[in-house]
Amino acid sequence: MNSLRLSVIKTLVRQDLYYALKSARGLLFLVFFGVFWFWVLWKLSSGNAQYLANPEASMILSYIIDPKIAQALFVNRAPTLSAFFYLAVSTVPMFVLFAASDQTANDIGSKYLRFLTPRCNRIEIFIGRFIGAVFLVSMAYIVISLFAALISMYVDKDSFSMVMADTPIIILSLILYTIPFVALMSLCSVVVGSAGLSALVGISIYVVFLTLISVVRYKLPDIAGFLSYVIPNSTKPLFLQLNWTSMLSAAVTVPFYVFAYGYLGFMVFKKRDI
Amino acid sequence: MIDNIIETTKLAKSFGNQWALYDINIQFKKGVTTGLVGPNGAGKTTLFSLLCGFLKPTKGSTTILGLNPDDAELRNRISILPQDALLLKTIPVGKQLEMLAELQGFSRKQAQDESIRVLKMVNLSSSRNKNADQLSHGMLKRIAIAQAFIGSPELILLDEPTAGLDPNTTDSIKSVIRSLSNKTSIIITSHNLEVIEDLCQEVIILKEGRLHSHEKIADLTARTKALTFRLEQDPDISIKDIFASLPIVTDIKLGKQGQHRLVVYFNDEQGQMAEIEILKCLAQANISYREMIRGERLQETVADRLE
Repeated sequence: MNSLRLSVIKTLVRQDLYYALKSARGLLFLVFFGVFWFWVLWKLSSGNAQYLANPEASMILSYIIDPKIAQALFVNRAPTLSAFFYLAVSTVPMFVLFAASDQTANDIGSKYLRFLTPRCNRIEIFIGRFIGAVFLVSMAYIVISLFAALISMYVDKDSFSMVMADTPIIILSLILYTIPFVALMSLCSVVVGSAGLSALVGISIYVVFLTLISVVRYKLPDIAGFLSYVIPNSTKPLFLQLNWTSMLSAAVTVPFYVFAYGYLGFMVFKKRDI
Repeated sequence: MIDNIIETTKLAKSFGNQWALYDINIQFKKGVTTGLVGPNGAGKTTLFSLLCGFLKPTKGSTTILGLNPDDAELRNRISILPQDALLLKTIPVGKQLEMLAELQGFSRKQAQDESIRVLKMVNLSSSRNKNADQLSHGMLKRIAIAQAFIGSPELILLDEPTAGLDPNTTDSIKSVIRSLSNKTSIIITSHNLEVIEDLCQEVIILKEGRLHSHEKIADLTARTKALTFRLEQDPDISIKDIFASLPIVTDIKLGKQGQHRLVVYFNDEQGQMAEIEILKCLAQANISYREMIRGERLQETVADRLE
């Protein structure tokens, strides 16, 4: 298909990553992300998560979070790594809605896209920016997960083999879980002209749907179950099971989210004035 | 083989209820440098943006090099200077040009060489490693012009290429455009009609969102058939009587109040002798002038036509 040239997409992704590391928005995300995780990992390095592996703590956790997830995460696992994973999955929307907010938004506002469109097709720009954002977010999560694994090996004695077994699932789960959020932001960033506004639209959509689902669940649980698939965190409980089978089940939904958000986003981007 | 590099059919664009452009049928000829002019709000930038594919038409269609503006095959065959697009602030401009060249298919090394070449064309080699926020408005304009010269496009569209540039830089940019016009088709929009007159062979005049006229510059400026004088003061209507005795004079046109302009049309069969006769006539009537040019200024003919 001549409208989708892989060499151009590769160049766009490379340039997008280069710009992300040079621009204020990219650095702001990395600093914010780094500081937050430095603080969390610092706390976890003093063994604060180890008591979560006790049967009493598991019982208390079962009241707070899903009992299945509490059992899967904290029974016979490295508690520090599990605590990191639970926090990481829970904070994905906060970081990703921010990190992926500027795929095309600022370039629409500044009209920089007008330098790109004589050289690239709109589909190439749209896909290139999406992949660039996925790479940026993935790299950040890979680095932070490896740090968490090292800390867990040090803190949770005799857990080397468990950490070695769980780290690849954790990294893969985090990457797969973030992708639909990046796709949601690719839709949000084509409708506005600034990254800030794009983040605001993304967060608003997310919060409105979360609230709506909570309210509807109270009266109509079936409809709430259906509605929960509109936003990307419907797969969260599956990823939190921390096993290959659940992860692969959750992974099956990722292409659907990417296609749905991506298709809507591209339809807007294709037809909009830039 | 196509003769028209761009063709529009009943092209129209509205913003809300407001029609910015309506029912535009134009053909831009291949190998001809064409100017797109008109007063503010005439629809120049809207038409330019539609031709470039930045805006989507509300009605009608456009073909560029025989293709739809969104066609993938058009990529790298046309290059564009957009009027108000901003470069990335935190990346050196030389690097940005390299990035754009790479997107046109140049290898990294070739892209670097191409970036150096186009920066040299706009006399900004020394600014290669500076970020966009360290450069003046005029320099950024020249960088934006430089990106339009990357590669060997078949069609170059330039929106206000000399706006915001000092006279020396304007001259050097005009000379680069002139040199490129031998190899490629160029379309220029500009408020500066001297630039259009200098660089273009044809001009398209827009008025209130509609096509007013599409003419050859030579026809508009009547270089061999008229003399334009800038007088010390506004000419009196009786000045026409002075030339009544000269059979070679075919018509007289007076400028608007304050323009101090007098245009004398003549039969050009007598060549320079006709011009000498007209000058003698003015001298005998004791009418002095500050400036005389052969033909008419595009600025003035376009203004007259738009009245």
